[in-house]
Amino acid sequence: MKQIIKLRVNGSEDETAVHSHHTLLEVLRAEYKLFGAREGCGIGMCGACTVLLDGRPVSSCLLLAALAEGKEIVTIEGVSEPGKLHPIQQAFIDHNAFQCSYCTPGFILSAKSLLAENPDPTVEQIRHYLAGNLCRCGSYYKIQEAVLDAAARLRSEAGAPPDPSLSPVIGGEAKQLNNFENNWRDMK
Amino acid sequence: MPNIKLLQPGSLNEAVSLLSAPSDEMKIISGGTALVIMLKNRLIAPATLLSLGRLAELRSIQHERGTGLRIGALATLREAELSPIIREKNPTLADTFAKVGNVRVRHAATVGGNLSEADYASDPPCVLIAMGARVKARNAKGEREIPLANLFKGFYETALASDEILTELIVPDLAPGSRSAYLKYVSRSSEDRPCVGMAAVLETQADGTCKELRLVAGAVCEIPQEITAAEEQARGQRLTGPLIEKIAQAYAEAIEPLSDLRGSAWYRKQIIRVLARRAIKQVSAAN
Amino acid sequence: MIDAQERVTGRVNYALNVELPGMLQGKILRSPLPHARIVHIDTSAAERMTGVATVLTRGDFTPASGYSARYGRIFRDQSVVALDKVRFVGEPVAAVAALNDDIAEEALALIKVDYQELPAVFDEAAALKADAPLVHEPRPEQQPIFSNLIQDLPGGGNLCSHFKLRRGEVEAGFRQSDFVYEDVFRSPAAQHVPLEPHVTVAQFFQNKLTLWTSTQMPHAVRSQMAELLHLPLVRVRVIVETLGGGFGSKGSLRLEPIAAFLALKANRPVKIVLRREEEFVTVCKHPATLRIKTGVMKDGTLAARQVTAHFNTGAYSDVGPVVARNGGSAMSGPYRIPHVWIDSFAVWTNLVPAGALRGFGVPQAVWAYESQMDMIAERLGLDPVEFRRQNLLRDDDLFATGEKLADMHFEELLDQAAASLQWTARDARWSQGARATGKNGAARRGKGLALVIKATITPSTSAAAIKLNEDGSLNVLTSSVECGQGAKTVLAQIAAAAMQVPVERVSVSDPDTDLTPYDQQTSSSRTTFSMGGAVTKAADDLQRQLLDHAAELLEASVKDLALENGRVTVRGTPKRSLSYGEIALRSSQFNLIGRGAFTTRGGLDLETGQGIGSVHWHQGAIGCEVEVDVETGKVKVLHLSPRVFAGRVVNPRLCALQLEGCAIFGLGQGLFEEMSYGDNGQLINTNLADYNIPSFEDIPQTVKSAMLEHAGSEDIHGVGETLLPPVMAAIGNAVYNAVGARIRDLPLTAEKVLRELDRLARAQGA
Repeated sequence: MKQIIKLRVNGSEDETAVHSHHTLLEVLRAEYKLFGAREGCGIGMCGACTVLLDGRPVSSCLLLAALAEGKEIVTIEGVSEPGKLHPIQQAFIDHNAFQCSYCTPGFILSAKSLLAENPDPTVEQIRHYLAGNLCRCGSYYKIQEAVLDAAARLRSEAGAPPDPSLSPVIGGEAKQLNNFENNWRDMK
Repeated sequence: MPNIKLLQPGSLNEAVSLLSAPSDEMKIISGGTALVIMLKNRLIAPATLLSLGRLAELRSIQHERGTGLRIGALATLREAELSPIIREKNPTLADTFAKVGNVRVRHAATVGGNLSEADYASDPPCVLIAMGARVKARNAKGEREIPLANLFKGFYETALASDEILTELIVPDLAPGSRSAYLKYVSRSSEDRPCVGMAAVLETQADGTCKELRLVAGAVCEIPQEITAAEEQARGQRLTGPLIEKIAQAYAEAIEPLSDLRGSAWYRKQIIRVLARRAIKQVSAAN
Repeated sequence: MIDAQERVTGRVNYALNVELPGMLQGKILRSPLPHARIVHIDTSAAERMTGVATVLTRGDFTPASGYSARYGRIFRDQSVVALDKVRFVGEPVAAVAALNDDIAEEALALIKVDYQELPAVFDEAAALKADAPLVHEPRPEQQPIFSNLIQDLPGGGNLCSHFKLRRGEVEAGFRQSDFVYEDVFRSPAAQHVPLEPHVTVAQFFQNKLTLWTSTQMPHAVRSQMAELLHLPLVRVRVIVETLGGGFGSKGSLRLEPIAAFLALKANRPVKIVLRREEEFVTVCKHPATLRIKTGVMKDGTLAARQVTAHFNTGAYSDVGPVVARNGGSAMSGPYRIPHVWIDSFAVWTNLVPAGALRGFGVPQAVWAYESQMDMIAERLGLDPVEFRRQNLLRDDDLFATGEKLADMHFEELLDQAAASLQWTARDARWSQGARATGKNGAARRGKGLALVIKATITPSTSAAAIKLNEDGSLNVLTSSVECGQGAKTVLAQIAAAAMQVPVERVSVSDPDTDLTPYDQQTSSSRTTFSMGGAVTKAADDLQRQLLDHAAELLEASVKDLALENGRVTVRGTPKRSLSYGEIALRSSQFNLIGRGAFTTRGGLDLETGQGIGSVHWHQGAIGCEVEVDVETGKVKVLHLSPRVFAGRVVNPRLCALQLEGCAIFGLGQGLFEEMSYGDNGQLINTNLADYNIPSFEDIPQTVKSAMLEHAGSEDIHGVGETLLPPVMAAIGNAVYNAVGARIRDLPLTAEKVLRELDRLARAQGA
């Protein structure tokens, strides 16, 4: 038996029919076609299904959809305006902070919550907060750099002076590729 | 095909009256982080789920003079971990909540749900027993208090009746001059559940001797383990190295730990001794 | 990466996202027993259920069906669903296609299977005893294509394959040796855990099977599925979206057969997505036991080595015989050893099938030989760094396979790894000097290193095409699978550089066997080297065509033309010039297609293991620093310093990610990853709470990777897996260095370390 619930996803509210036992992850994928949240472990260990619920990261695989009624749900698709990137997303690109990227949306959403709570985290704080998001490809060091960098960018956007000890921001992806291309040519 | 009815009462009275109605296979869900896994793996197949999510009255965290911390059962572990009141009054407790699972789980899982589940490898139970905490349980007929030491009955088994809801956790203030610690030992990944958890609360007298030591081991047996005879050896004594070692040894000898992927019974005995020693040293360090 | 935006916005496409009109969900019923005869299967209740489209069982593979159901890369030992018996806990017995997951699961519960349990065997040594239960009887048929790679053996036992390497006179070598040491090392079953599970969508449409599937080898899937369904290759199409990690797990037929037969029966598209629990019973790393006997002279010169290795390939061989062969041929390590005798066996048991896992048999080999190298150094009182140096393979040396080596860089790699640890001779635990290792309360620090030599699959073939469009932009058509390593990015770079156009004007295809040329597989660290080679050749071919057309259009001789910046120009007359697009249009070709194939040749003699084992050798070293708590036995890895010979690096950042990824992957296998079997072949840790993989807080404080490049080198060396195999031995050596506990069976759990410390303390007390 399905029941009609009202879900507020990425800023818009809509009625959806769900089974009581269906998780938010199942509903986001099956009904909303939001494929940025993915099941990796099904038990809340890996974080690939992370969404923000009232701004806080939760495992959408462990949340019954019907119990998300009345909450503000944000998925990776909702963190930035269409055609634009959130500074954390940009930092992940600039630091190549992913390989297969199955875990990436979860890391970005968790990092967003971390930086909202703590705009200037230490490496230890980043590692601790993100320890529940698993990256099997092992891109952790690049993720760490990306989050440090994103924190600096967000602080400077907010008017605070950026931390001078951080490494300089590397340019966009296109520029980066051109650099590699140049390397390649130099070697020939 | 599962066809589960979901009830979402708006008040505690409504919730307990729904629970008291004769009904088979009703399960209470709060944060859902454990229950949904059981549901998905078909370990349970309830006809009805009773969600406590709308009971805003059970979310508060307060401190009352003479009573101590009063933590609503629906407060999430994360709320408890970050609560300024808990941090101020009992930082060890706040830190213990911070050690459960990962941050996503703590954002969803509730204090009451954690205790009601009675998972043997959870962090808070042994700490709360060492701190002399108790819970309130409500049913349609009324309310009762259960000391934490009597709450856990076995693997995923509590003293709560099927029509009762755990509503509040009460943690008395530690006596002045008390120190507390919780050591979580994971044998594998940082994200693993504890192989052994060790909680210690030490009340010291003005002359520097021990008034009372509470030492409770978690994750080693079906329920938390406290060896009173060993604790009593500390009473009135100065906690010297040899005495600490004696108590730690007594814990290792008295407890018959279980074996699982996180360590064999033999290994857990070694770790119980090490953690007991380290926990007592930590709480007696100031002396 | 060129698709970075899609990756950070969650829009990158995985097979998981594929949805087709009318698509059904497939679910698999699995065996609860490790070895049993199937007496009867009753599917009637499941078939009657509303919403169930079809149920697949052995009943669909009767002789009258025309389908044998049997498949397998090397041996046809596996079947779509279990036929006469089940051979491991988790083996697919039946499958359901239904409107949704809930109905499919409910239907599975309604299928009744009667089993007659048979004695089972789990241990690889026990499986080889004369009275052991037979996992396969009669011996499964070997695929003829592998007859020059894997020797066929007589039936009647559980021995699946036997790799032999014979070099010199090993017995004489031991007789000449001053000392002979024999040690046994073990590696357990471990999981790949790509976060994306296996996913397959199968559709029959217009007499053609189309598969969207998470595989690392689209062409091998196509040919095996065509064989299974008796279809010409052209009637099977395999499309591969980007993978959410593979690590070898997505390297053989997995869900494709079940999904295809469900789709065939239901006449509707069927999608199967494995749950994590099912991943654990699908494929794993080979548990392996290696007995390694090494003869050495007083001065530390290695004289002889004999290895007997047993790789437990589980119930089905998958690529187990090739894993045993690859691991076997690596067991002499990067050392000059004149007399070598290796027997490396794959053995059938009633465990989860084992297959390829990042390193392909070499991790098990390195764990054994690099642990033993430190043990021998101690027995002889030598500095483990100098002991290694003394025996290193150098240019013009012969490898154990008899091939002459070139471009050897082990000395440099060893020096770099030792330097990363600030290693001195006094650091050896057995040296008389004051040890530099720290001591802080119960914590002890130690350092260790390990080397690796690893083959890349040889022979192998990759083919590519480059399609020049009428605006001068390029489509690179390749069947290399993007699994996060950045294959598309690197191939775009290579094509762009070769064709002298900006990367932005290059698009690299996803594999689609209808459109993209043959590639053997995306594995064995071969894509940049092998497919990169094919793309380069395709570019050469395309350039030739461009020049020919341009010569005609510009009325010039080809030898007077030059290609630069997307144009062909007559040398010395810049005005006589045409862009690639203009050439395509004005020659009335619109598209020009360059083709290239990159093939390596080699092979080893079946009786002696002599020949060409690898077209070139992957070389690496790693330094490791640990801290061990002597009261709990817990090991913390503080630093890892992977060093690899990379030849020419195409994309430094992607290379660094591979090295860091290898280090972290190896850390998991070194410290805690192990599939644990309980009673009767039941796997007891089939989820990520019970089977841990490394988290952000488990990784070392630093992983400082470095690539050794040689200016002017044209040779590209893959780095996808080279640095995984030595991690575990480096950790083991560092733990020994710190506390004197030598662990011979992985992983180095806290409990094993503490037990060994306890044993040592008792021995000392006694």
